[in-house]
Amino acid sequence: MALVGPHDRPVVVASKPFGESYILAEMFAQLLEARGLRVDRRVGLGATAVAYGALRTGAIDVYPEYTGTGLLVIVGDPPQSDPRAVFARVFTVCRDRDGTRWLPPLGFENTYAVAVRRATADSLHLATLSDLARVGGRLRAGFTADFIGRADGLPGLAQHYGLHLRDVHALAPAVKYQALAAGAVDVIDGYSTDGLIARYDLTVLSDDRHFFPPYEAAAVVSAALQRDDPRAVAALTELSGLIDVGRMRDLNRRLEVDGAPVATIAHDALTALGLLGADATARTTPAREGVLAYIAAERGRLVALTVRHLFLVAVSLAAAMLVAVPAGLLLASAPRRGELAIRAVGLVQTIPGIALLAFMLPIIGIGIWPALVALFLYSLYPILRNTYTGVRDADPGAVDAAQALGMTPGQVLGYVRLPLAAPVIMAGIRTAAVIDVGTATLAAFIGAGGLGEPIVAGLALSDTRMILSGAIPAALLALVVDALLALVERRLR
Amino acid sequence: MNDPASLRAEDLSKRFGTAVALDHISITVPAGECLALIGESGSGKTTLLRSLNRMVEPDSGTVYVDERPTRDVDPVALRRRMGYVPQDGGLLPHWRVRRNVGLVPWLAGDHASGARADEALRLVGMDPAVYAERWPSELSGGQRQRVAIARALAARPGILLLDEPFGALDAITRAELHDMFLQLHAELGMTAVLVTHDIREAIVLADEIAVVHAGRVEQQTTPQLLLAAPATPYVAALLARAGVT
Repeated sequence: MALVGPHDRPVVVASKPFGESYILAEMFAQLLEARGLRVDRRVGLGATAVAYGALRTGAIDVYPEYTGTGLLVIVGDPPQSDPRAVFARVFTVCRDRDGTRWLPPLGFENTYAVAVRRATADSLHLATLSDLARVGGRLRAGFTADFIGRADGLPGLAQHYGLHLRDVHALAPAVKYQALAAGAVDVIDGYSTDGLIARYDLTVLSDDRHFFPPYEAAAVVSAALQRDDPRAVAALTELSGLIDVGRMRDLNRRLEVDGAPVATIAHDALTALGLLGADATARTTPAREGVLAYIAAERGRLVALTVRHLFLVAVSLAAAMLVAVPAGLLLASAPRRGELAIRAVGLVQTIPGIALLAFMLPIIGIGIWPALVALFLYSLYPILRNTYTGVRDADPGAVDAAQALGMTPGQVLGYVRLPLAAPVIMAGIRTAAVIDVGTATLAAFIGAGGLGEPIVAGLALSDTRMILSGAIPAALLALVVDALLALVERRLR
Repeated sequence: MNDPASLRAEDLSKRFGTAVALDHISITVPAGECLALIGESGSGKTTLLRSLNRMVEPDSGTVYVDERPTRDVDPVALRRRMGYVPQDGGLLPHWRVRRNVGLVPWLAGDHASGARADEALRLVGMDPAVYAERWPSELSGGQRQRVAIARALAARPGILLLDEPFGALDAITRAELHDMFLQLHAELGMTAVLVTHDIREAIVLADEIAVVHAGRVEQQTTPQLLLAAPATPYVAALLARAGVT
């Protein structure tokens, strides 16, 4: 029954790196598969800029987004509170500007929620955000970086309610609930559909002065998909209006609290909605085992991810060597300009990985190319610096004597400077390789695969086991690569 | 063996930024003789030596080898015809002794550069069977200088330039190398220019001595005449300070 779309290509389904986005994307994917379409999953894309950028450039075909995020981040408007006006605005701007299309909303809102421990709420009599503003000076907050930076997050909230907190810490989404439960902070931001709100027995403070804009979830599809495969768009539209907030919170709880696999949750949800045919078979659910058992069970996939990881490192490192070693030799012959040029390259090193990926998104999109380019850029500096220093500082007495005895400049470079600098250059390559193995985990944020994939997914799903299944092999890989290159370096001495 | 060549520097000047290293300086070395350039640090003696093989290009003036201006000769070709021994030996640390010593014949495309190296090692009193396969780091300071001299002589150049070659050695080793140098010079008859700050060394090794001061030659003459008749107060003071008068 495998029907094939008019253009025989898989529909690329993506998500952002948090649980709800994974569930919705998986529901999109399974629904498309049930309608006979091939699907390619690119889940866990870094941030709104990465995911929407990928959609706009056609690197992905569909991902779940929220109208409020669309209004503020994608359109760039100030917050406003009428849900219908917001949807109309993002729909129109995205269609006219980018050719993308917001399908009718899925049926629930997932707005920001500000939560405190029940005990805090009771002792300070907190029920609303206005109450929080009254006692804010006594409380420590742990907010996601996203929330701290966005106009519809902390800055707007502080202004709207006159809220001043004692401290504000930036916390990763994966740890903020634990931080709140452990008493490290008193206030966190969350999403109104978070399953963890129930698990940790938290009180969500109501938005009594209507600050948070509406965040209706919807599938957003690319121009390419609308053109190539209207049946896929039609299939995705089947979900519109079917998922209410109670159902979404249930699904999130199954993921965040019960630890059920995303595929199972999505399958069950689609079945319950009557969207899957009777022949659709449930996916098997592996029980929650230990890390090692998990790694053993997933070893096939992990081996493939390790191979992909090594590929990313090897290709980017080889390219960096081809560029940085000759460049270092060239610069060493003009030390003053050389030093400046190398410092400029060193600046690349200070750009955080995810930011570098975001910069490149409009130019080269997502997937393996931008990952290779980013890793290449990160590898340049250590190799360039060591080549330059090694060649410039190579035993001056030996270099001078070689020249004075009649070696040509090329012979001095090839027979004296370069061999004497080889161990230093190799040390630079080794440093670059180890940095690369670590940085390559970020490639998962832009859908390039590698061992970052389980790490990103594990962080999003609060699944330590999954995080470790990527982190442990990545660490081992770094050690192995370092040890192998150390052997090469020793042979060069 | 290349014939010993005559060497003449005429009216050389060289500035490094504002510092004057050579100030219209001239020297002459007849073929087969050994000239010692003696002077304090910063006198310009090393710059003068390095002008001879174009490791330094003077701002003005001319160097002649066998009365032919060196500026007409490719510097690389020129240097291959001149042996060079720096103070620290300047051996390539990643090459064994034999390869180091055979360097210049090898550069010249001599397929027997290994054999040339072994001959040169014997000249400086080092048994190739013992030393040829060693790394420079496995040699003593005196052995290293012997190897450096062997390397400078391996292609049998007509001219040998030495930049304080014995300066860093202990007194006993230095005396041994002095004897060896005298013997080599007598045997091979090459023209030699030796930079040193040790006037006793100059007296022992050189046919003539040029006292260099502030980028000029104060006096060039034989050791005997220098001792007998210092031409300037500076030369007299230098000799007095060294206690050789």
